[in-house]
Amino acid sequence: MNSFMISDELKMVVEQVRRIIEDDVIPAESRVDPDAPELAEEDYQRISKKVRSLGLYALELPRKYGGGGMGTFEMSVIAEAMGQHRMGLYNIGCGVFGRHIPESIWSGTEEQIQQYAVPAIQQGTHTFFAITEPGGGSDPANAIQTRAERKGDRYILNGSKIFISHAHEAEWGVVYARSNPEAGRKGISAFIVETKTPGFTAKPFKVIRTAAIPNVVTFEDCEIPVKNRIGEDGQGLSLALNMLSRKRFPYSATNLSVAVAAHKRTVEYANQRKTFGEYLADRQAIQWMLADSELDIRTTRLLIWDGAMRADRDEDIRVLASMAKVYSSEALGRVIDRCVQIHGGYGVTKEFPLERWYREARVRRIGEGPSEVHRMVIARDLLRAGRDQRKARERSQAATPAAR
Amino acid sequence: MNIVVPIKSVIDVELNIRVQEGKIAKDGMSYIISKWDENAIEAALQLKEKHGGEVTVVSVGPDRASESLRKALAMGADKAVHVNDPAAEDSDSFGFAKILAKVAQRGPFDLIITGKQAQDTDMGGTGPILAELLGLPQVYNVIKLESDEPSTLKLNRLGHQGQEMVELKLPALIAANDSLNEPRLASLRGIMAAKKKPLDVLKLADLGLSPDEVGAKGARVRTLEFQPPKRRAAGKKFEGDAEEVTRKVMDLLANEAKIFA
Repeated sequence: MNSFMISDELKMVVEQVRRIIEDDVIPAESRVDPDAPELAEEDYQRISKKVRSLGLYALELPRKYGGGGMGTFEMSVIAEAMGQHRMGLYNIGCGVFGRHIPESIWSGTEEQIQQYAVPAIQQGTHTFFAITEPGGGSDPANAIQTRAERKGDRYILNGSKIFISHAHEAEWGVVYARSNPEAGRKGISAFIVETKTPGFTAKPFKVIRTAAIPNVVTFEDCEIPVKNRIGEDGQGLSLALNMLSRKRFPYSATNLSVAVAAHKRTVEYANQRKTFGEYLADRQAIQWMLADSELDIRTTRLLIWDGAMRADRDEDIRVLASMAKVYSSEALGRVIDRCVQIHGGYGVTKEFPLERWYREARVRRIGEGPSEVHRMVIARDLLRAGRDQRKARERSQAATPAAR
Repeated sequence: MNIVVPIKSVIDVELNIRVQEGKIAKDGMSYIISKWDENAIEAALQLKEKHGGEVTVVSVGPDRASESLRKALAMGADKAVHVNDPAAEDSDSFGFAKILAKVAQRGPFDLIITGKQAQDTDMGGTGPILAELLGLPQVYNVIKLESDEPSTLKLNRLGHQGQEMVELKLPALIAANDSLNEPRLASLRGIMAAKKKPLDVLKLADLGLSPDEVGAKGARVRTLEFQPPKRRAAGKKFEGDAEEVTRKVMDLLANEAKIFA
């Protein structure tokens, strides 16, 4: 395979994104509280308007909906530039380039896409994705207790969800609920739920990160029209799986972006800071930390780029997506930890973004499937062929006990 | 209005520039359009948007210069000329001006806009020599530009003590200061269109120049060596009572740094 080729066009798009981040987003970010979840509204509007006029808004959105039509690889390369600022990890680009919406909406009808997805992206409104419940998040087939009971042309939703980011400031979201209690995994359906629906409440709570605030969401006899169900009844968990896997690459590239930003800053700092009469840069303990971070960053990038390119070639990338997710979030954790250590006290002041990155990086190993679940996916894939052979052997032995 | 904008691809000055054996190390560096040249491109695009015509960007340099030309095309320039000839490599300002003059003479033009100097060498020689070679009037360090009709420009140029307002009949050459305008970013549409725009790659022979006229052989100014700037010494920090500290600092400024002498 040839080495990765980045087209001149992609290079230029990345450069424009980098310039908007450096010239507009970072100065606006410095005018709000270091823990703020968003820019000041007027700054957001101004920068977002500029981004739109350049055609750089909603780059991942298909062209037919007015987006940039960028592929998974392109979005991964762009995300590495877009996330290099204080809010980058959980509010990439401070939303001026567009915000995420739940992937499952793309499995909906054209009407649902036009009514919900397109306006949300165009207007930059928040949305939410509600699958996790107090009983668990990574095992939705068993954990989902929220009920969706069909009554005529409506479903009646009852139950609660937890760790639902943005639910208190969203206009709609996608909710997974059990519409057939007997059917297990195939009894779960997905619904578009508007937050103004009577019986819907979202209560934000505080966690280690101060952006993308999570909520406890409750449904009390929420009436959802059948036309707001995405896909067929019972299809909920099989929706958009492929899309979800693809999105892991730009997501992982966001981890990479913050690692790169922190590392770059730290390399500079090592060449400026003197302790006991010597530059940090001249001490082997520091050099080794910097070298390890560089290794972490480059291996992460290769893992992401390889998977993202395969995703664009329509290969099955589910396992590679898990690898990118685990590796990028853990590499980010290691890199940012070293950066904080090298900065000493300054690493944990709110004067610098390191402190926020450090806190938020910890969540990246938990959200979107914890490392252990993704490792399970990787291991299962490794062992599947051998296990199938073993089982086949056991079956044939059982079938012919007296073969000797 | 047909406008020619010569641009230079320079090492990104945000990076750590290294000097090796008296020369600037070029490998592993990333290159950008020299910042005043971006102002020149912007000024040209604004004039084109007002009066119509074409903007042609020109660069003399190795393969990587084409990247800067594509960027200018993505910003909105119509065509590009890349003089890519190893014999042109070590030209001085005079050599570059000779090459640019030949390129400009390939077609009719009304105006040449340059940056007031290049961001890497800070020499500022190429523009004035180019104007001289083409017999054009020139206005340097332009900070304001108006043009009600395509034959005339009204310009403000910045001097040491104030501004000079001039009216300039075209054809002419002007050089942009960075306060002239805010260079636009390339739009996604512009970026995608850039590849389809014409980019001519020329050798010196195509311009009727012999290798002896330019490059190191034709140079009248020879660079002996580059030296890295001295590492700045650490500053001093003063703490304590404001009045006391002020007195101490004033004393050091006067007697140690001798800034009032």
